[in-house]
Amino acid sequence: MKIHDILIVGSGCSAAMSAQTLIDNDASVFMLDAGVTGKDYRTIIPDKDFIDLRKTEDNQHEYLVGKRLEGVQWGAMGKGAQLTPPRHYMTDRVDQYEAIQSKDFSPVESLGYGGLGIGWGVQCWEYSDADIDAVGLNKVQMRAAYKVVSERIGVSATNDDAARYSLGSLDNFQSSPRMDKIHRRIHMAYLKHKNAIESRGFFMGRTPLALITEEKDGRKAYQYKDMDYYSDNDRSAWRPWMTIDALKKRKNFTYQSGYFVESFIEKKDYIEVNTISMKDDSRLIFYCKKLILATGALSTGRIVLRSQGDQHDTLPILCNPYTYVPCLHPYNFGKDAENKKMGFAQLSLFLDENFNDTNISIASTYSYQSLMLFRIILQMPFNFVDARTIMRYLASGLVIMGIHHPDSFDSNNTIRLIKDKNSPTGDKLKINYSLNNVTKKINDAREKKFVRIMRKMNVFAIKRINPGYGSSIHYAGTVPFSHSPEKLHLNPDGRLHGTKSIFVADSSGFNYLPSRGLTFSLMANAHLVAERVLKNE
Amino acid sequence: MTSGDVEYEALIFGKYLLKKTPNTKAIKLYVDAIENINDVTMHSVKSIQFVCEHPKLLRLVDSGLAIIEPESELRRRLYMMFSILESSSEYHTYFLPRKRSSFYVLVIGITGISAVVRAVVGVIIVRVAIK
Repeated sequence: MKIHDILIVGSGCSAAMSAQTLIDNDASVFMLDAGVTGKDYRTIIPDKDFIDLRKTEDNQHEYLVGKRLEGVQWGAMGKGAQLTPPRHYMTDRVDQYEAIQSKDFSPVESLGYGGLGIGWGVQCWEYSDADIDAVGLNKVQMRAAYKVVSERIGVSATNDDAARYSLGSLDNFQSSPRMDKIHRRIHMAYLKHKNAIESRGFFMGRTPLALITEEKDGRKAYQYKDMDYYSDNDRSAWRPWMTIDALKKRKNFTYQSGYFVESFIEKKDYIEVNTISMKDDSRLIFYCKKLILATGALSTGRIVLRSQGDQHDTLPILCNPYTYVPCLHPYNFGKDAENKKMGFAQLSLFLDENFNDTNISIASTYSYQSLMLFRIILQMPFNFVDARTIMRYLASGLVIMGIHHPDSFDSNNTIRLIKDKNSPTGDKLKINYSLNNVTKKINDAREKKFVRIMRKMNVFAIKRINPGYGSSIHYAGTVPFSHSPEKLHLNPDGRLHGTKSIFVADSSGFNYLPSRGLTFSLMANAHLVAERVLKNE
Repeated sequence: MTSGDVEYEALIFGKYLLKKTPNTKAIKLYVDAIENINDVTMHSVKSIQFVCEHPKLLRLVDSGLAIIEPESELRRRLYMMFSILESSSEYHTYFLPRKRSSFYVLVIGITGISAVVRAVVGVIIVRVAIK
């Protein structure tokens, strides 16, 4: 039997960062992944901006709505409803291998090559000192790790009013992409009323993004094609598969797709990794000396429960509550479509009610253009013809505000495995999740404050839409950090208690989930975990 | 339903949404998409049969359903046709934002008011003629 030195499970953001740290230190790494890939849209999505493409391309329906209209969501928002057809493979086969039972919680998980990073909004927030403490990580180490990750993936940002909320000590970044007309207007209004706005605890600035504005490592500087939700053709926005594709060229790295990792058993001299072949559901065991789980908080929770838990064990879960708010900016009504535009978040607004950077909420704003009218037309209580007439005038003034709130442990919010004979794993994950009334009230009050303060910047909310629990796609806390050697917990260095050589590199260990998106932080943590794996003898 | 029925339906819906006959590609895409729907009930197709028999009432029925049954099968199919037409280069001028004078606000206002009136009439038609 072949025993791999280090086996990483997964290919998402944390897996990619752990692997790169290990490979750069000459370790031998075997990456084991479900690795579902989609149709290669690179060959059919032309190298054009969104507006040009809409005017000229005959086969645009293939990637804008999908050949079978899979990009057209009807009824209740399902899993991955916000994904465009080229990103749909992100959730392929998830229902088969990662079955869920939940009344209210609808998570998005991925077995795709690149994991949830396939559809990541590329926002790169550094956690504040208070956040890092609450999460259970080391501030000094995390600050250094953020710099390493930024250097690898390329971050664009601006040292502005909100930098103390967004950038921490980060200094190795490129300049932010330029804002479109509507966001320039919003920012100008913010600067005009800055004192009044800041006195209410709001601070606005550019959103740091894993998006390069200068060429880097063969990736093109951002071209403002507004195709961000459809195509990675220019590779300006970083995706995990870019790092893994590069690592595949290194001698000490091996990538194996097509296997779903079910559980592990740590023996005296090696670890058995039990997998299911996704080709025929047959079982196969891989062997390694050290194991790094980087499959995302829910999948890691499943693997740990199957490996170390018993039938009645439950694990906690954290998830950022999320609400989005379609808004109108009247200045832009009746304006032409802009050719050069960006789909990613352009501005972010922090609500720091206590002026101490703890327990804050964040709203990020997006222009709408590239998501097409059909995705919003159903929100209007009119017939389709009148709705189209009205929306064509209003659409250029449409701004989407996405609001994230922090989440703390609640004893009612848990996951556990229950039997399911229809699943290849023989189980499914039962998720209990809801917000208590106090938290609901706090979040609701904050959302109203966001709506009110945006009016000062001439942005008027149409309605607040709560897409349901789990929709933020930010999950954490399933195998929490603990200094005491408790079962189903992680040592703060990322090692699973009760094991010698099994580590977790994703967000499973987080004891708190700040409103700032977690991806940049979980990548920094993954880098640190990989360093500890190297030292672990 | 035969494919001929669905083609006719596509034609009616396309004409309604564009005020002109949709191209054959849009009709084919619609027919293919409808073939993938497998959760249609007899009750849900009643409104579709009604508007195919009375295409001039489609806008009113759509208006009424938008209020009382926004997730009806008819609305779903109109929505599918809408997305097909929107993602067609030939019809981009119908969907992309275009520069307009400030007086266009009046058009929006009138459209909004007439949409409300249509909705009221549409609700009555749906309640009386279809249910």
